[in-house]
Amino acid sequence: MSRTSTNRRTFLKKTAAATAALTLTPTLGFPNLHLKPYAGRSLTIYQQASPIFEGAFELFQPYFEDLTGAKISFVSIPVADMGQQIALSLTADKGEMDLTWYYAVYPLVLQGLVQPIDDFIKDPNLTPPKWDFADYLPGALESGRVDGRLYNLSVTANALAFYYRTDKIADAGFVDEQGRAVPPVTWDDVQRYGQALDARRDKPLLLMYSPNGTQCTQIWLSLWLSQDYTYIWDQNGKCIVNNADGLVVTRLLKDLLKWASPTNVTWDFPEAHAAFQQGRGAMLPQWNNLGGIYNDPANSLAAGKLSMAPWPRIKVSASDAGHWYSLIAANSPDKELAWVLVREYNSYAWQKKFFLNSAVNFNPSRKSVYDDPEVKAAYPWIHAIRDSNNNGRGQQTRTLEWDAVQLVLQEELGPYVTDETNDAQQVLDRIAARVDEITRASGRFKG
Amino acid sequence: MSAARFKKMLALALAYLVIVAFCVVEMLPIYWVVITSFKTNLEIFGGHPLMPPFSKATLDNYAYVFKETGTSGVAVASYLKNSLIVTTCTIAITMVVGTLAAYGLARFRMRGRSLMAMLFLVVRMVPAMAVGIPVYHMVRSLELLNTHFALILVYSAFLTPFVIWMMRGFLMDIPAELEDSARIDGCNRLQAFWHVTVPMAAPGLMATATFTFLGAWNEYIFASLLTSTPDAQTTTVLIAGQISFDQVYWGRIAAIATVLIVPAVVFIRFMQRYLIQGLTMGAVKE
Amino acid sequence: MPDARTTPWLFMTPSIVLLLAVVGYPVLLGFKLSLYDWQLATIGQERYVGLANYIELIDNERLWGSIEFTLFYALAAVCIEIVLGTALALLLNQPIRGMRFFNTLLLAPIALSPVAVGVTWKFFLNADYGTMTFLLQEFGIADYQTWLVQKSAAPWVLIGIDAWWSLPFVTVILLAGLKSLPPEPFEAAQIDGARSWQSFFYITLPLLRPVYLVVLVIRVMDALRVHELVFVLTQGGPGRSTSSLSFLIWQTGFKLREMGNATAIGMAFLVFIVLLTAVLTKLLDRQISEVRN
Repeated sequence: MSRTSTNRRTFLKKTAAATAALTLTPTLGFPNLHLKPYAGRSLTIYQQASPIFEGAFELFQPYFEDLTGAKISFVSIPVADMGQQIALSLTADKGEMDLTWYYAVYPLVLQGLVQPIDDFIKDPNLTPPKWDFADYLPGALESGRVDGRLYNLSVTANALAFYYRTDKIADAGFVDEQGRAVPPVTWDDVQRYGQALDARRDKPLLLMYSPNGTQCTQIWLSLWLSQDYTYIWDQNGKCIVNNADGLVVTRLLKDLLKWASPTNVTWDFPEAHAAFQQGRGAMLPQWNNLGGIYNDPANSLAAGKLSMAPWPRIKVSASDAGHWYSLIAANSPDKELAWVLVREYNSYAWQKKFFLNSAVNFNPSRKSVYDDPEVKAAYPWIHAIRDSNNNGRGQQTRTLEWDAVQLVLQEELGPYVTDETNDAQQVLDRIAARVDEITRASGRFKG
Repeated sequence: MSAARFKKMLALALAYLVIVAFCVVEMLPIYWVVITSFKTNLEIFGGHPLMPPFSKATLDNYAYVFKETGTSGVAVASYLKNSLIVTTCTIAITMVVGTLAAYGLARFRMRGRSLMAMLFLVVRMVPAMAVGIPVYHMVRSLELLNTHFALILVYSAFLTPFVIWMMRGFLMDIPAELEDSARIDGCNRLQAFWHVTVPMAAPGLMATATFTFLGAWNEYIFASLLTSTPDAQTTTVLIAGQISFDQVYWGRIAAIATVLIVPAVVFIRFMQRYLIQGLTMGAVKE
Repeated sequence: MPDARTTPWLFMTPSIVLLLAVVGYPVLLGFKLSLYDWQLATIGQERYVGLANYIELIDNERLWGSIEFTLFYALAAVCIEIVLGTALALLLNQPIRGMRFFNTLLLAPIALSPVAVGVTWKFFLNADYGTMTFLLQEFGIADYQTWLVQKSAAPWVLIGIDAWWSLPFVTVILLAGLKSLPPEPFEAAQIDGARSWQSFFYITLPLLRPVYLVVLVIRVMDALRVHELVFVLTQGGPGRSTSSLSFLIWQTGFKLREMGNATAIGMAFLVFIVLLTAVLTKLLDRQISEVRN
């Protein structure tokens, strides 16, 4: 209880400039929250049934309810059903949901079902005038902008990064002057490391390559983005992967298997995740929010020997970024209150708290949090999370066509990875032809 | 003579060998799931997969299953509750509705009888997914998504033909004369049906109810389409979703699977006599 | 007082109403919805497109692949089950002690939910920790298997699991059929000096025809609708090698959000199944009355 009120005090202090406006503005919004303007109101939030969100917002709920006098109720939904449930509530006359956290925003925005937040931001009663937008990760902000309007301040930002075991890498002799393990910087390095480690003991690389899952396509996409592309198609909707760069990427995808155990082709997310926790490998390309779990001695043999590097480069270091958008329902009667909530958890204090306290690292969407001394002390690999998030290119996944495109990638890359076919050029040609068909059918492109 | 005898003995020995092997193959995965549900993660990854955990056995996985909310916020107990509610109500509705229709089909020779029987059979054959989307659309426009009621309604409709076919077989075996004498004593049709036929068909009713139980308890497709939160979702959906969870808790999933499997297997054990009639909708008798 | 002509219909009214409302209406609705371009998020703004969804099906590569897999799956699974089931039933048609006990064991898989079967086998076949890998190593056959991600192996794995699941059912029913056969024709054949394969082909099979037909219809229909095994074990992959029709409908509708297309596939599937049922029940009805008499 006392901790909660301290938080509130720091928060109010931090926004002292805005507090001055208190006397000037008799309306009920910011910063008159101590008057409990929202007492008796309530917000219903659809959240993914996972420790990631549930853990983080367990902390936040009492704080926010105390701050505003409003009540929050959470509906936990398995991730597979979330899209359907969100669409249902958004299209209903009286939707139950006021706010949700979800990764696929684009189709919903196009149908006008999501509330743009520009007006809330402009309103000095609802947003402190000194709200620092430059502090947001570019992706966390820009990925929520559609046709010039802003629909989102990401609740958390993730990208693919590269986990490694400091002990195993150091044993193989990849150390700096102080004897500290040096992670691979390029994919050539990864192969070099792989070779050296492979000669010594177990297969060092843990890869999620199951053609029955989606992670293999995500890795391939991130390799492609490392060739310094942002999309796999141009602005005319023409797929561009069937070129020399694409060939390099596709062959690399398979070459990496040399340093992985052959069963890696059966792995999707859970298998790779478990293997790393069980200390089975030295290197793992994986989403960058799992450091907390991997470094937990109760669950992971990698604990204490863990570090993370940014996504290895081909031309640049850029991986697929996945944002969890804060979507305010356009049909909600409490949009303003929902915004206050979004604004609160996007504050420096809460972004930091989420990151330090939740079971899974809830990666901050604010850049300055990454430089916080406490955060730096808790996570020595914080720079890797920051860099991968900063360089992440996730625009692809917010397009309407992505689900269909990903299925094509899955269908075409799968047989290649499992050696049913070895002709990378043919694989790329088929991908290009089928993606062209999808973009043509969508009618959004001129070409 | 002794050669023929030897041949016979050999055949019998072979039969024993085959049936034991057959049973082992059939039971192995089930046995494995059950013992895994009593193991810790450490045992699962490190120990012998086919050895029971003996002294290291743990009930943690079951504690998780029956707790109101698990660590990852999944209220397993509420899924089980949903399965129970939906299954019980479905049995009640289908048994009443289906048995009445079966009686109509079994006792009367009227025009359109075989056509009706065939129509009921066709519904039994309809793949759930083929009509899944329109059913979803209908339930949605009735604003019944994610309710027990919707599942009960849909399960009842799709299981009723099964009850009709099975009960028709049982009812046809009960001589009509008994009812007739009851009617002479002053009962009307419905009373005769209730006081004479139903008690006589009790074993058949029990057997049919068992199969209805299996149908509803094990159903996945409609449950996955029509429900989405622990308010109404059933255990089959939970277990299918657990597969792609971030963390692999094999022990817990095995425990949920065991909870799903055990009642079904126990029911089968008690209904064995009527099993074949049930599985073939009364078309073949044991 | 209702007369004898209306009484049976009175008894049937509740089920007819229930079926019309919950099965009949959605089928009609399905045919209507298949003429529209619609998605979950655009319910209420469906666009009428006539037969476009059906025309698109013709060059939908995924659909033809799914039809091919589904038919192959059903045929292969049912053939294996019937052939093996016959062999087992013939072998077990002897005075075996404790047959009741064995029956109980054998029938356990039938009581399993398809999802439970899928989950069980998913773990059983896990290439790193699965019991299958353990067994392969124990017997020195191989180090591991990656069957579920091999295009050539994955369909057979699903067929194998289906067989594991249904073989006991087929065996037990055929066995019951065998036991119910009258002994006289066999005795007569023996006197005439017929060999055992001759009496099997010329006496057993014809007599068991109705039982076979029942098994065939039920197994084919259940195999054609396979969804859960695919959903849990392979998600239709690798490539599209295990995408069953039911799975394709789910994927098209709920994953790719093409509800109109998915409904059209569903309706086509439904028509096919109803026609098939009509043909088979014509056969079946005759046989059933023979079994019953």
